Order: sequence, then structure tokens, then C-alpha cells
Amino acid sequence: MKKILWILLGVFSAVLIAGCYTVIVHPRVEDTDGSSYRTRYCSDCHASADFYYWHWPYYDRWYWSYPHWRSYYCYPWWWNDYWYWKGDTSGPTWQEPRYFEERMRPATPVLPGGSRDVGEEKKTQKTSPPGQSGADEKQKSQRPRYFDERKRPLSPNKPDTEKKQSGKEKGSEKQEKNTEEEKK
Amino acid sequence: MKAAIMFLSYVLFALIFVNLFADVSAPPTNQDLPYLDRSEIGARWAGMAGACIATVDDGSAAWLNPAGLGKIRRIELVGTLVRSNQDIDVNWFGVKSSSSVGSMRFQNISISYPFPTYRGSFVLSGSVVRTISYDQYLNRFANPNFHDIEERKAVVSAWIGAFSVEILENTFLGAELHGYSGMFKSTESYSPWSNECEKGVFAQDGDLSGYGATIGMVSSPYPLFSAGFVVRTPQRITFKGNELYTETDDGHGGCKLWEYPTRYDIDLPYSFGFGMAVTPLGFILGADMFYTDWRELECPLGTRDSRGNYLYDQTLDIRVGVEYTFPQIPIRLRGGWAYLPQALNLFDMKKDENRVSLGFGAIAASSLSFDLAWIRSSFEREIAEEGEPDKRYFEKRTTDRALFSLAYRF
Repeated sequence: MKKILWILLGVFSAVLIAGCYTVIVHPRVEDTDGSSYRTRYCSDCHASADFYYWHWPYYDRWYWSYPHWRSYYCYPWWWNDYWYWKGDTSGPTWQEPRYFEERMRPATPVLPGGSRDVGEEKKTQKTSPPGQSGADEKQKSQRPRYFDERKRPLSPNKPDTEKKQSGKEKGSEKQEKNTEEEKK
Repeated sequence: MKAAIMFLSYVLFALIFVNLFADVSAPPTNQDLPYLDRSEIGARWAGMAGACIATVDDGSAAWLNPAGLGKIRRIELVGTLVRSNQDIDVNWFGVKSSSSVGSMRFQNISISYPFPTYRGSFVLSGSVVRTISYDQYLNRFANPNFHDIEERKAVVSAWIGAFSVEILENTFLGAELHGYSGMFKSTESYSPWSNECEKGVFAQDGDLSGYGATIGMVSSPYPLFSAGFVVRTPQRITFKGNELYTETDDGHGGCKLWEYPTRYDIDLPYSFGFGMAVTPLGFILGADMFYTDWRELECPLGTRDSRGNYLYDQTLDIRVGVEYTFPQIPIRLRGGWAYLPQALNLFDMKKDENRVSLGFGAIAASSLSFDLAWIRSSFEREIAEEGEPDKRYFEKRTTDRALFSLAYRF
């Protein structure tokens, strides 16, 4: 019995030590600008969002290479509302099947043994629009790598400026292409 | 601060390990105790012959290596069924006999809940695992006039509460506590040498209870390599039931059957497991070693012979397994081999226990996975009296088991 108590003491202490790495509860953050928008991006507050966001354990990277098993092993269940959110006003759509393609992973992991990117299609969607200012480029370079790759829709309460803007930019991109073709 | 925490953790683990190796004394037995059974848990890991200390990442981890629970990302429900069949061939005093016994039971059911985390991992799990599922029917003499039949059945379930925490990046620490419940039934009927009794019987029938704990760790310091260890504390198993036996009552007319209540404790010793795995693309190659010093077994039936020698020995199990995941189809195949020396050294081993396994796994709708495994173990042993070949006792045991696991991740 004494030994069991020792083990229990050891486990309990180990859990206390473990708290140094695993972060379960995020400190409550008050909105500073008075708006109703509540940020959900860690990188909105943390310079290094890697610290507070999901990292890529090695075994996740391994399973990531296998599309059939990716959803099963790699996606935390609490990410579901990220992946099923449809548009700005609708709620999460749980009825949809859990295919990995429908879950827009914010980052593409570096695969062991090479730099083959699995989420190639998503990457192509995330190319920055032309005509960005130098300041924007500099700011972008300081962001975590997945900041610009993230595809999660905006909060329903937030003005949809960002999306509209990106839509305009896409439109302008198309216009530029069209003008180039006309010139040719 | 960080240095202080590291120092404290080193001191703590040093204290734990010093205590682990502290005194454990041992009395003796002359039985093939069912508690020595070292079965594989979960079809996926059985398919790899149990080589999974560094790789286990489903609900079976609660028993195999609790640290592996930390790798679970989704709420998981998993269950396993096992069908086993054992054949025993005996040659004793030149008389050959064969016995066979089979059973089908559930092996484990487990639910794991990973807490949402901002960083790291914290997973809780509740499981029921049949750690001992033992059936034996052994008829040493297939002769109606002279027989020696040994029938034994033990089913022990561990009710497990387990957790795992990521203590450093890619390093998990886990622990489990369990309580045992189960039954043990043993009947040995024989033709007595004395003419007083027609039939000799020694039987035990009762319930089992007990407790124990396991701590484990698993770490992946490099992308293609992981290692882990497990320390299983002494397991206390208490038998509470009845014993029945025949007694010759000379001078008062024949035999009597005696039955009386019995209670005794069995303490299984510490076990230490260490495993490694390399994971080149497509493959998981795992190797485990599991050490148990059975000389530390405590049992009221005794663990030493009349000359004071230990009847049980140290064992070092070696398990090697490989799994291949097909990149384009949702299927994975696996195989393994294990070497398990016998703990009971009452016999001369003609052929040590080897296990070979094959397994298959698939997934449907990205959330429902199932695994099948087949595992065969066999060994041969004998007791040979010097200069008296007619008294040679030879025994060959072959056990086939088929496991089926179904897991759903919500």
C-alpha cells in the first residue's frame, strides 16, 4: 500500500509538472476596442501563435500523409466548428460527412522525408493579391505561417469587411487578367 | 525556475525508482498460475505481436501504456472481441492424450475523452479490460480407469481509470489505476493411488478482486523515432471462495469430501517495459522488451520447491512488429513475432514460447475503424527423470486467438 501511495504521489507531482507545457484553459481576455467582435485567432494577440495554437506532433505528421486516416488521427474534435462553419450567418453543419477535404486545415505540415505539400489546392487559393503595399508585405512576413493560409469564416457579428475586401481584390485580379488578355 | 522544476522532477523520479526496487520478498508454488498470462490487448496491437509501447495511440493504451492516450485527438469508443482455442498434447508414461478448449469473450471496451487544449494534450479514459482470460482443459491420461484431469478457468477484468498529459512537446506521461474483478475456478480430479476413494478431487471456486497501477511515458524526440517505457506496480489479487478436496478417512469407511471457505492474496511483481519505434513513410516498425522478475511473486501456495529453489524465474519478453499503411487505399497490414520465456521453471523447455501474428485494419467514413488479428503461440516442455525415460512427461501447447476491434471516433 505504501508503494501505491508513492506512485500516486509521483503521478500527482508529474501532473503538476506537466502543467508547464499543456495549456487547457486560456486566460479570459476582455475586449479592448469595445466592439462586439471576439477574436478567435491566437495570432491576433500572440506574436508567436505557435505557442498557443496547435502544434504538429510528429505522429500527426506521419498520419497526415495518409488521407484516409488524416481526419481520424490528426483533427482534434474541438476543431469541428471551425471546419463545418458555412458562411457568415449559418451555424455549424454537423450533418456533413467528415471527409478531410472539407476540413480546411490552417497549415500544411512539413512531411517527413521531403517537402511535398498535401494541401496544395488550398495553398493556391491563398496567394496574396497583387498590388499590396510594402508595409503590408512586411507585416505579413511577421505573421505566423498559417495566418494567411487560414480559411475559417468570420464571426457572424463582425462586419464582413475583410471578406468583401478580399472579394474585391479577387475581382480586381480577374479584371487585371482580362485587360492583359485584351491587350494581347 | 525551469532548472528548479527540472531538478525537482529528477529527484521525484529518482525517489520513485528507488522505491520501485526496494524489498520484495517471496514465498512459493508449484502451479501454472493463470495470472502469468501475458496476452496482447486490442486487435491492432495483437497484429503486431504486442510491440506497441512506443506506438499505441488508441483506447487500449489505458492498459498497454497510458501515455499513448495523449495522442488521441477525438473522443473515441473502442471495443474488442477475442476468440481463443487451446490444444494441449501430452505424453506421460508413454500414454498420449490430447485436449482442446475454446472460448469467446469480449476483451476490452474503452472510452477516451481528449480535453480541448490550447497547447499540448490532456486525455482521460475509462476502460474495462480482460487482462486475464484463461481456459485450460488438460487430460493427462485418456483412460477411463485411470485419469488426471485438470480444468481451470480464470477471467479477470481490470476497471481502469487513466489519463495522459503532454509534459513536453511530443513527450507524454500517463498513468492508470485499476481495480480487478473476476472469477477463478479450478478442478483437478484424479484416480487416487489409495483404494479407499474412487475419485480424488481438489477444487477451488471463488471470486477475484484486487488492484494495481501503471505509469508510462512515450516520447518522439525525432520525427521518425519514438520510444517509451511502462512500469507496472505489483498487482494484488485476492481470491475469496471455497476449496473442496477429498480426504481418506482410514478406519472409518472410505472417503470424505471437505469443503471450506478460503481467502488468500497473490501479489504479482513489478514489470518494466521498454519500447522503440521507427516510422519511415508507410511503415511503423516497433520493438518492445518487457521484464518481470517472477521470483518476487508472492503466493500462499508457495514459490519454492522442497530444496528452496525458486519455481518461477525472471522473464524478458521480446516483441517485434511491423505495420504498413497503404497510401491510396484505407487499409493497413501488419505482422509480428514475440518470444516469451516461461515464468514457471518446473519444466525443461524443449521449445520456448513463440508467437506469430498477422493483422489487417481498415477505416470507413473517416471515423469508424476496425481491425482483425490472428495470433498463434506454441511451446513444448517436459520433465525427464534421469535414467527413467518411461516417466518422461512431455507437453505441447498451441493457442490460436482471433481478435476483432471496432473503434469509432466522434
